[in-house]
Amino acid sequence: MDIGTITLLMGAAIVLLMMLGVHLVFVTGSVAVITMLLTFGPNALPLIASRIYSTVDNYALVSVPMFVMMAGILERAGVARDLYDAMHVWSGKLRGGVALQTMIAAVIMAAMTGIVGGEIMLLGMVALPQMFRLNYDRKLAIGTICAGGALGTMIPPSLVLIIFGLTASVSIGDLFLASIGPGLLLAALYLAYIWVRCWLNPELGPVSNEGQNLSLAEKIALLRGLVLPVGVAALVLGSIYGGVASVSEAAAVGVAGAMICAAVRNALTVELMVAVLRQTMRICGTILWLTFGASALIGVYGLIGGTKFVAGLMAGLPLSPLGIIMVMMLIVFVLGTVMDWIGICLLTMPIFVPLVNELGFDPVWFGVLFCLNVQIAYLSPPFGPAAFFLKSVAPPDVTLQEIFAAMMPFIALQIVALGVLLFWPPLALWLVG
Amino acid sequence: MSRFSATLGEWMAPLFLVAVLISVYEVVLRYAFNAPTVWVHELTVLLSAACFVVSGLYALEREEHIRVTVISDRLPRPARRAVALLNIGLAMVFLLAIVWGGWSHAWEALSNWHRTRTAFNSPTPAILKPLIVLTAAAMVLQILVNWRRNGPNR
Repeated sequence: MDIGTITLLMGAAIVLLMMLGVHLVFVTGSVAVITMLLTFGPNALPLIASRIYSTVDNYALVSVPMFVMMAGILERAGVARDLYDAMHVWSGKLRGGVALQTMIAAVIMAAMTGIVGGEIMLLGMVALPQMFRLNYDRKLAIGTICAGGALGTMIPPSLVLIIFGLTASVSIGDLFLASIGPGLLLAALYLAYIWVRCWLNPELGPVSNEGQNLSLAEKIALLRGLVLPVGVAALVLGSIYGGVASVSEAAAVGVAGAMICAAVRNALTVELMVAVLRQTMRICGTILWLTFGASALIGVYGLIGGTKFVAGLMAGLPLSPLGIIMVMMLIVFVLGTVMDWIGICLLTMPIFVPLVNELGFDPVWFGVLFCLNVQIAYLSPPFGPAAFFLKSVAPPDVTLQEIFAAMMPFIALQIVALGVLLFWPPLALWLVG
Repeated sequence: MSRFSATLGEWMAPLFLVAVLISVYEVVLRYAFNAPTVWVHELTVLLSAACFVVSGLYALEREEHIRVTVISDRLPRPARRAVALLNIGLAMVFLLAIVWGGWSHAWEALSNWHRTRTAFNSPTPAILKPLIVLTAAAMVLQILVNWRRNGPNR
């Protein structure tokens, strides 16, 4: 059987099994094993266990549980909620003020965590009822929360960038720095969109008079809620940027900082730590084992020459180098509508990144492009995880259709940001040395 | 079996915290006292890696592994049962391949107590390789237990 046929069969098997609802780790893992048995026979099987070993025996991977812990502690200690309340001080007389406040809070939260689910659920519980109560346009409110929450993957620390860095052997510190510019551009586009819409049509985001009667002292007291978490985020990014610590060490310092935040608020209890540690274990279990399955699959595929086959296929396209990058982005986008980002990253990046290097592009830039694309995948129907996270905490009259419809303008803005970065790489690379 | 999976996961989880504390200790020692250690780096990897491996069993017991449920939730009951069986079958293929392909290397690493041959020379391979095989074997059992626990309604 030639490699093209094998590729088609493997792809078809993966999509079919995935759609049927087989656990992703077992889909990728078993397709890998079966392909291996059919092509090399049982002698190749030790490869799978040894790939698992080399995956976990990696210092950079240590940052994954640490960032998960950091986010978990800050969230459970109520730091994130305080942050949102502190933003209220500024939302006063502006049209659409609460939506703008939500978006800014989302950006700061994104700098404290790399996990999207928690952020969207928290904003959904805190900000959505408030915007509904103040008669905000429902779609604007819903879109703001989902798009803002999804920024968690774009603004460092971001699990997407960590996994990309590991898969593509690119410096995670560089990726973090490179994602700051595009992340802020995205946030600025969202803010401008909310502001312009509310300015053109004040009914979308009515001015509220709440928060106007606060005294200066009260405002300062609220702002205190901001200092610690922003300090932790700055500490983590600063130590990576300043070259003081590796990403994993910076993450550990971030956990310590989060624990201090919790202690200051008298929230650092044994129960809190136990809950956070168990949550970390669960998240690692799902992410890491998915990685094992996908790495077995891509390992086998590389052995039978598939990686070269696809790279050759793409390099042979009658397109400019930038055109090939666009095709890659299109593939990621299409996969993103049905597949989890970890799976996409692990399966496609070992094929794409060598080609990106060969074409003379910076893999750091490509990583940030990928990350922006994952943002779109988070929102886009039919499997946009952001919608399901929000649905799980929103009032029952908010339907999935409404959520997906609300996201459309924000998806358009994400595509704009992707285009800007595609044609203007310095947006990402100006911070990278 | 379920209790074993859950308890093991819960007892291993604090190792993450240990990894955090020793990493902070290392950063402090290196920058405040200019005295880096040789053991923090490797021990952090070993502790985290052991947790990573076992976390798969923990997540399996809690049935939290990622899957696309949008279509399967709408299937009629017999079809869902068939998918559940298919899931078990494919899980077996993957997990048994890990056990079958990995055990001889694992046994070799353990019986010769393979070390990393670095300054700290930790027994990382001797611990992790058997742990991967044992966890995969435990996951085989756990998957059968999950199936029985869920009953014929899946």
